[in-house]
Amino acid sequence: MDTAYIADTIGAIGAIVVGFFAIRFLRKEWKLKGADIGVTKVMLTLLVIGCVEALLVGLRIVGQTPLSTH
Amino acid sequence: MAVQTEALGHGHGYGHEAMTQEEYVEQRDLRFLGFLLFLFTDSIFFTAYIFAALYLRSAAPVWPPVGVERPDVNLGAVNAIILFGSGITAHYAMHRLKESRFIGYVWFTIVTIILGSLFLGGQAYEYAHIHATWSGSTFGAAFFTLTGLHGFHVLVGVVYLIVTLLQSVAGKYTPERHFGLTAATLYWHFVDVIWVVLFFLFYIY
Repeated sequence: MDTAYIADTIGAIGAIVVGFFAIRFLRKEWKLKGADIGVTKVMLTLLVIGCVEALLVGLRIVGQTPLSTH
Repeated sequence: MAVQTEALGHGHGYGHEAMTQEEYVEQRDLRFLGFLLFLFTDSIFFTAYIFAALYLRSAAPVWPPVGVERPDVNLGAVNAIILFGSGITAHYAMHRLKESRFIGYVWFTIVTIILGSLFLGGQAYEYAHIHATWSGSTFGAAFFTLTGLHGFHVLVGVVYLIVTLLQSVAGKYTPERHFGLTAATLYWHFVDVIWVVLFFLFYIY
């Protein structure tokens, strides 16, 4: 098992776990009102997008760019 | 000066204990506005550098330039998840304090600090192993400038969390009055969100 495979697996599982909790918090905060809550909602939404990025990398769908040679 | 500080609410200990609830809410709202403005200016700072990196990319015939290697995306993803995970633990810590569960707050904050430090360690490892230098290519210049700037923000965030943790232990924050912690959590989320963009820019795009 190579390092990249282990890193991908950790990345993908981590992305799912973190994304799950981020969505859970987002759902909880969605009904609440307040300026700080509003900012937190935006931040959590972007965090979910970050988890999707990491998941796509973990699943080797994006980000596998080799050394530039041309 | 002493009179001025007292008038601002800093004359006795940490200040806000002596305020009425109305005074506290007014002060908190003003501080929140100030903090939002700070985050806004900081995001403009990052945006300027991000657009500079995009300009360099669009001007280059090949990206990354010939002979320059992108950072390891697999390790980058793990490092990103460590930072994103710290955003979740920071959020948990904040909720624990609001629910008057102080021990939970302390533990989640400690975990956040550890995860933030791990991210910095991962970043240092990456700097030591990447096949690019600051002055060797436009990619290297953009990468080291933006990730270095972000790393500095993470370092500040870790120190900020440590300070708020010590202040909490000293009894500064209560479930009703904890603006310092709200600001620290928002700052930490901000640092997370910036990494969402930088991760895409340097590791994926």
